[in-house]
Amino acid sequence: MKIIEFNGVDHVFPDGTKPLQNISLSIEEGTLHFVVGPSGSGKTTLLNLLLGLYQPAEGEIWVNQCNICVLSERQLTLYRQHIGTVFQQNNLIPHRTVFENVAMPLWLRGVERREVQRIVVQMLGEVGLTGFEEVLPLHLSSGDQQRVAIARALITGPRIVVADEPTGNLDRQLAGSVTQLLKHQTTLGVTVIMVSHDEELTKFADTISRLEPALNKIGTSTLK
Amino acid sequence: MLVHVVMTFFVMLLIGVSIALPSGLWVIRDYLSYADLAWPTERGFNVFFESEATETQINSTAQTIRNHNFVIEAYLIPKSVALQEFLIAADLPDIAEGMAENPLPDTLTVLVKENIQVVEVERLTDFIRRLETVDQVSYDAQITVRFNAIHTIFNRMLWVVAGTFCLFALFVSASAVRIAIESRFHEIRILHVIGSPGRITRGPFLWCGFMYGTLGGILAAVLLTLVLMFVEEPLRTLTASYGVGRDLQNLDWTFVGILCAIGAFLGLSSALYSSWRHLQRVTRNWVI
Repeated sequence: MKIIEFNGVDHVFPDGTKPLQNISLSIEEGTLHFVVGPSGSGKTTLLNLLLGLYQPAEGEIWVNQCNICVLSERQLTLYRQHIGTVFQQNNLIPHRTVFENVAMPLWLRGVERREVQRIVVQMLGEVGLTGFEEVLPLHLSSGDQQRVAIARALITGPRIVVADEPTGNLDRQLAGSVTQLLKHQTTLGVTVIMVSHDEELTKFADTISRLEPALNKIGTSTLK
Repeated sequence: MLVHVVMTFFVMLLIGVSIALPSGLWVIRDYLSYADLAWPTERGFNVFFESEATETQINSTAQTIRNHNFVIEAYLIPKSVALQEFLIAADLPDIAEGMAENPLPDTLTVLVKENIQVVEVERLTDFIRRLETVDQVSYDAQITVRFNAIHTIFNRMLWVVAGTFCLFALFVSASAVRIAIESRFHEIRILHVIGSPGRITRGPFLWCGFMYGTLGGILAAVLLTLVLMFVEEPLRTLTASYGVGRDLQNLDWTFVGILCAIGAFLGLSSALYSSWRHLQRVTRNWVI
């Protein structure tokens, strides 16, 4: 079943730049989908459109049979609560502990305190960070910080996880282990959309979209 | 941490000063208004009786004046009471014993209706001057008009000062909230992307503005108390010279409550505006 569909999507920045033009794409549920391409090809813009952080100039984006382009800001806020997000850096709030960072989406949903404690401890165990609850993110390695971010993305049990270059700051071995962690989620029915520069990691992908800047000056991207 | 505490204190101090200044002027104006009876007003004047007049004659004349259409109130201050009040206010309580005779006259303080014109009041004072046992009527229309004009100017200036300082407090609080938002931009963006509702993202900043304002109000009350303690003595001397003896009261809890409420309102409204304006940047110009 297709869980995400982009139908003829264009995006225009306020300065007139068009990072994406006429993008059509569909992603099956429970797969690890890679979006690859060089810098400036519009990979992050694609994810921001999927998160409802940008509104497309043209076209529609359907997520779980819902057109997110027509949602109000309040509805988009609720929508984002059902999507896990991981970024390349600045994922975590530095003055909050690992526990607090991971628990945040649950607090936003008003989950009871004891239940939060149970779920967070279990999730940290799943990403291999048991015992790090009270540690501040700055005291963790880059790989562990990404694990915390992944734990936070998965804590509410989302059906979709969006990861924008989550391995960008990691060495090859750590990048492999983080990607594997995300790949494992697909066996639980989670759909993961991951942006990456690293062609090597595409071996974990179920499907791949390749964005390439077109030859015109406005940097239009086409999907292959 | 220390820098943050010092900054917060200065923000509260600025808000406190902005509230304390107009409030202080208001308190002093309020205090001075107690001396009003001794000052000329468009609506009142004093009638002094002849020293030989008997009590019966004075009461009869006072009743005639009270019965006049223009008069709403007229109360008699016997010369014995006037002397006592004067000696207490002038801090000379023992002088009376050495005085052979009371030099002060019996006085009738007259208040006329609000809608009566100055010309008509002058007509009334002319009528009273012709009454038996009346020695003098102290009513100077020119001074009264000037005094009331000054009074009005002072009142209006008070509102202008209050408005200006409120704007200043709003600006200070809004800027402090903006700085707080900018220092936590990274956190706000994370909250936004994981689906934090606006009220949760805004909450800490509204609370921050509310606290700045409320604590600023408390600081204003403290500053005001200190200033009033400082000016109490000359104020008492001033009012005593008008024959009114009244101590400057410390601020009561109601007044402190009003100052805090004004501060809280200013802080909260500036935080609402600032958070609305600056948090929009997170949602509208999204760049990770």
